[in-house]
Amino acid sequence: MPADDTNQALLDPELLLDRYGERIYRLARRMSNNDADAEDVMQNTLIKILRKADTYRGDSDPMGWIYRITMNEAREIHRKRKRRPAVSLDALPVDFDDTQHPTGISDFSKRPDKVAMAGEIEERIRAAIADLPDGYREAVVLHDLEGVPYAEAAKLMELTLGGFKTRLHRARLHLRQVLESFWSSHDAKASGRAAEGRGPDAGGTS
Amino acid sequence: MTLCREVAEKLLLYRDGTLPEEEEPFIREHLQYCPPCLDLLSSYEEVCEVLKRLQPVNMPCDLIARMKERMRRKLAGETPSDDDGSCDESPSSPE
Repeated sequence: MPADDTNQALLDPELLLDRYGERIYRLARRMSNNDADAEDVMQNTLIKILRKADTYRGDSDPMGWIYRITMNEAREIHRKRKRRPAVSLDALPVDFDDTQHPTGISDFSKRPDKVAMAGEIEERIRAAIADLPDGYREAVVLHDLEGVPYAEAAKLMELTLGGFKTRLHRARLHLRQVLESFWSSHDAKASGRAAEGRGPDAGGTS
Repeated sequence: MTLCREVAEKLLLYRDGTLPEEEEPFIREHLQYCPPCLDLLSSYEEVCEVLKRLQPVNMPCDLIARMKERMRRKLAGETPSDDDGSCDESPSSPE
């Protein structure tokens, strides 16, 4: 696509939406807690693009530039909507015991019930991604969800390759903790139900 | 001796096969005798699989049309009405 054509698409709301609307929405939705926030991020991104289009000096594919604007607008909405503090990932999100072995770890990868619970897991993971600190959320969304290669994602986030991988790794480890906690809570509820079933009234007539 | 903490920090690189050549055998060996680290790796890989399987985001079918209308109003200097699904907030000012 010629650069002139690209610039035209960035200046015209109709062309902009037809050409890039779906990709902007997808990224905005993945960065947001809900549909309403995603639409606000999208709207603010579109306005920013239209206002700054004449300063765009990039190549014929402006998606990197558009991604950056979308991420900034998502950060802005997050700041405005902040209802609870984001988790801190300044330290590695793994607990170690006195002998320096990881603690509280279970391998939930082979659980036979994970297929049945896939819907709840997905919901929990989406919420946990939205609650990640800005730079960690962006790392997961760009690489793990949007499939942007490491080097390109690092460039978009203005990080070194190593810095990008550190953020992505900590975010994934945090999501691992979220799933660990999901399964613990699931098993505790199942045990509770089983205990109730074995109670004095179990099987009795009422 | 490779410590568990070091393994935990390097799981991404180990999984990607991008660890420095001289480090890889130590991590691999550690994982053979350290069940908690092996469980950490398996569950970490499961997270990557869950992320890969996340359903794609579906855009509401009328969104592009609604956004075009919002843009028309915004550019004409109007405030979007409440009934078009927008929030009251003004967009952030240009940088």
